[in-house]
Amino acid sequence: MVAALHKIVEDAPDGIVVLNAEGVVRYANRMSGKLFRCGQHDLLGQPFGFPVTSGEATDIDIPREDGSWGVAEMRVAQTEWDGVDAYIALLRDVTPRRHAEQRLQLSDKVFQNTQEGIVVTDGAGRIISVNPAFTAVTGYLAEEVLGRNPKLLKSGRHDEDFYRALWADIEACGQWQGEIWNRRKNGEIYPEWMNISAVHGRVGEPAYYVAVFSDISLVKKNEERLHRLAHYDALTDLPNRVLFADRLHQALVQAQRGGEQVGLLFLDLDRFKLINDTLGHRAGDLLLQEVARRLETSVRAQDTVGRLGGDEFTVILPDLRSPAGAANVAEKILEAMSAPFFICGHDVFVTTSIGIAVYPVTGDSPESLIKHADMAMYQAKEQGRNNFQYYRRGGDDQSRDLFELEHGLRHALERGELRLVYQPEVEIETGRIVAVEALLRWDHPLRGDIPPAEFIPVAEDTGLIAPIGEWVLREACMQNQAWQDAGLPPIRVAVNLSVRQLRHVRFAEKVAEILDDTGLDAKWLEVELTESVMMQHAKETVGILWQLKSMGVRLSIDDFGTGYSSLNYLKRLPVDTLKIDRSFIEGIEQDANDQAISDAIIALANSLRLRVVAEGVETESQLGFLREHHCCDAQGFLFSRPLSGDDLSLLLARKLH
Amino acid sequence: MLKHAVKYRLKLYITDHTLRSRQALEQLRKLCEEQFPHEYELEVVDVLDHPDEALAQHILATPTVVRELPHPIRRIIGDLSDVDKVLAGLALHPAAAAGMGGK
Repeated sequence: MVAALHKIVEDAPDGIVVLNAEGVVRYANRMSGKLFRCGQHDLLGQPFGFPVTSGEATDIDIPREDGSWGVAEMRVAQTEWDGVDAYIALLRDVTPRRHAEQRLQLSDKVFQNTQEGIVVTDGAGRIISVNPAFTAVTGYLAEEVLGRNPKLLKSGRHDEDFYRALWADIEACGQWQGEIWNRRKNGEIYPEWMNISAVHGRVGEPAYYVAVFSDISLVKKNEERLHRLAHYDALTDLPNRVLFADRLHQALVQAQRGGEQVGLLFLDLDRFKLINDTLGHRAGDLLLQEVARRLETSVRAQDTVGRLGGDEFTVILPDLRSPAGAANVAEKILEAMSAPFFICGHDVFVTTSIGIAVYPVTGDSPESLIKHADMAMYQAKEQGRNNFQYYRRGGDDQSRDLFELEHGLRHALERGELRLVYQPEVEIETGRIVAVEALLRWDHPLRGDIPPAEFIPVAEDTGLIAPIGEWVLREACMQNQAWQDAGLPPIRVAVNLSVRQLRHVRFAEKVAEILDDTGLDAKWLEVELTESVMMQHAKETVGILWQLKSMGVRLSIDDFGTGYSSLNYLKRLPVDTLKIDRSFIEGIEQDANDQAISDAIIALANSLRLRVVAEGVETESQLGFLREHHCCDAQGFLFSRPLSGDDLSLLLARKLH
Repeated sequence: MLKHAVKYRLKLYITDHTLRSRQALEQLRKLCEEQFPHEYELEVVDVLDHPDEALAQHILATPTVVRELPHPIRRIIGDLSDVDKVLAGLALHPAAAAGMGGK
């Protein structure tokens, strides 16, 4: 009988230990050995401690060697052991249950405290839970929406098809994400970035839907402001260089389709500088505004008048029937300009010189049209100003140049004529160098230093960009690792990528191989793409960019603000850094337009928590503006010109002391 | 004499900074402050941070309180919320409690 009882206690599914009055173990069954992860007999004589419980049971933690711990529920009863007072401690392993509870508590904390609004509905679409951020964004209290359908938030801004597509996505892949407009309780409509996931129950039908969203009205506002600033000239409200380029491109595409012609007029004001210098900038600005207005009234509704900067204006004349049509417009413009302008109490007389190029007669691409219209404008000036000229073909030895360049470039790599220089990116607050941008240089044996703007397009057209791009990447990684090996403070190296490189399906593998070969940790490599490449080729490159991101490589958008800054892409692409184009920084001291764009880009970056770098910083007052507007980092001659690898080591070492 | 001699030295062993660990520490500190103010020393040891000490002291589970002073060493384990049970378990009978006989 005693033996049977002993066996029952031994085999009991809970830990049972008997303790003396000092808390020392006198007996331990098999399960208690398992609980403490030791042999049950090793427990004998151990100072477990006098067991204290208040009420029924108490939890105790059992630390384990691997740094985790188990939880046991302890109950205590008094007994006798070998004739003296003793205690039985019953220990039940509740580790999985307690850990699950802890996870739940953590999830709940996240749910309650996250900045993102969360709505959970049941399978039938009835709201069963919302978090405080939901209330903060929508204005609805939990009790006002529980049991109701999230339709009550609809803004009316999307049609049936939008929601049909949304649900089709959820059914097909269990998830949808995108931008959606909803309505707050106070009636205000606002944009959200929303992610909806279906949570499946056991049977397969969705048991819950979870929608997580953030209010992006502020980001959106910044984006719209930026869009406006990026496409229109703030002084005259005319399309700027960017929108002009886009309109010209569109006009050519259409003309190609319809077999029509497109006229391009370039004009600038004769002796504008003189007016500016004698009457002041304010008068100059007023004059430009008035000129813009007269230009607009001289053209047809389908024509585009743009301001390229300074006193340079342009007019695009789509669906022209013959080149002569452009002359009619040019004459009208000269006529409109002939009346005096009344500026700041003065009658100001202004004349203009106009150059004309016509697609497809004197140019078959935007670039050639612009170049030719510009050249024609100078011809007009040479003809004595206040007139217009069509572009006339002259001797063209351009193609020969191009051929030589291509030929030379083929051998540049093997002859070691290419080298990299590095321009520091500096943290404005501290002056610390946080990164360098690697820039390619070509020392041509005969022609000397050839600017990248000249030979990179040739490299891209001929496919030479692939081996050159790979060399640049490898060289930059090798150099950066060499700096680290020399004990210099680690910095990132940024390498410019061409779209041709990204089109290569195995590009990410190539990068991984280079990192592996050079020993550079991926986090010290940043790849730079220009905004236009990023936006135009987003679909084809997004996969590769995410692959790079998952490896730890950082992504930076170059020349930001000059293209089509789209929030959708910014959110979908794994972007870490925005670089403000140097053209905005250049004018930041006096041009309100450039100030506003720079400010908007910084605000956009900060609201998306991206790093922002100002390019081309050359003066203290530019730096002052950037500091004041919370721009994080800057790059430019003010800090350092691009340096050779060795010179940069010296600079880094100097900063160290 | 401003400085009081330490009469009671306690060591609390906890596992990580869980809610249970924090509660145990608060309860024990409160008990010490009330029962023997200025006369105690309380040390907290996280066994995950100091596995060697836990091993040397044979700490099987936590929260465990070890009474290092006065001698002899005594230890208790479990729920520290009930002051009387904790005092009894640690065999501590503060003078204040003993001295307050009638009213």
